[in-house]
Amino acid sequence: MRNLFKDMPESFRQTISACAPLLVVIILFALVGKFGVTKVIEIRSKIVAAENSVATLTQKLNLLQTISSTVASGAPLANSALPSQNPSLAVSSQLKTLAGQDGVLVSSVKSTTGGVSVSGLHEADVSFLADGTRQQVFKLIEDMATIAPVTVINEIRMSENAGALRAEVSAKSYWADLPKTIPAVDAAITDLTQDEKETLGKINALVQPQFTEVTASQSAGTNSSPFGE
Amino acid sequence: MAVKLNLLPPELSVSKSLGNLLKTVRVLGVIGIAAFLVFTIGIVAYFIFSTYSLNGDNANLTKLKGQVTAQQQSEQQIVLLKDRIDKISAILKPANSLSNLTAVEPTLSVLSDTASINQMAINSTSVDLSVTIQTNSDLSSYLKAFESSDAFVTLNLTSFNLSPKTGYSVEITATKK
Repeated sequence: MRNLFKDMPESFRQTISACAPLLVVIILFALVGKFGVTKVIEIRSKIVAAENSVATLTQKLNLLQTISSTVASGAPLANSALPSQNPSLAVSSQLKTLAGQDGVLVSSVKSTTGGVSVSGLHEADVSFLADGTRQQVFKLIEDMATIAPVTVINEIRMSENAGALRAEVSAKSYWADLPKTIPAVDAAITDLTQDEKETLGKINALVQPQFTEVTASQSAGTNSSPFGE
Repeated sequence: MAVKLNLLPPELSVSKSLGNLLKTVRVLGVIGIAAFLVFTIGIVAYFIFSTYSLNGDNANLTKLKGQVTAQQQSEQQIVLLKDRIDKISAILKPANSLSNLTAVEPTLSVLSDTASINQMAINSTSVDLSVTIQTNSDLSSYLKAFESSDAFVTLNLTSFNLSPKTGYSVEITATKK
């Protein structure tokens, strides 16, 4: 090999020795450039993704910290307005309370399970008869829109005789399954929009059902002989 | 005076033009090596700096994830709240019978105690109302109240009877806007 190089003409040898470093540099530029630039682009994209996630999480954390009081008070009320189980019992209870307040005689309260809408809303059909004066019955029906669970008047039939009005009212109440998933930790969440805040205001204004909790008897123990003397 | 002597054997000499060209190529080679070193050092420095920055971001991210996870109850509540609000909005959006009842109420409030509702059927789109009215003033007020109301888009007087015993029987079908 050395002899082969020595046997070459001097001009050719000098050309090779002058061009070799330049050629090597060009090859190294290509190799290091390809590897290095690829790595730099890769790490830049990771940094951009990490910075985006940090920005999203910071915004999410700030929102969760600032909104927590609104949400903590609003969520139970919203869940009461649209419960996760059939609200017929609560609606009947509310109806009886309203009837007592408005001085209306409510009878024949019936409740049946209705259909399921596309948006996952289950319907409960509630019907009843209301007897009273015109003002009393009208007030009762109007008050139905102010109770939780949310109740919508579907149809009303009325007849009046000697100042006594009887109304046959058909209403719908709703329930829906609870959300089954929450977003991923690094997924963004948004604050309540103006429309959502208005709806939350309406929900907050709804009259909540009052249930009395039956507590267990204080006297502990069981009767050892319930059929005995 | 300086004398230029070429002591190289003639077979080792190269032409002057080739010699100049090779000199330029050698200079370019040196510049290339210097540029390559600067480039390599730059890339390595940038890579180290970026790795350091990425590690910092990742540490910050882990810390934030922990803080967000600690707020999971609030997140669950906001998801529940938004879900409920969306669904309740969908329930309250369509027209219902109550708006028709509130629309027809002012027309009934003008009647005296002698007038009574025979039949009234209200749904989300229309009101069918049959009223017995005994006095002319009640009849006039009743019809004027309907006329002045802008709650209904159509009003059809479907029946109008006068009985000496019970008075006027007026049946109206009103359709909401």
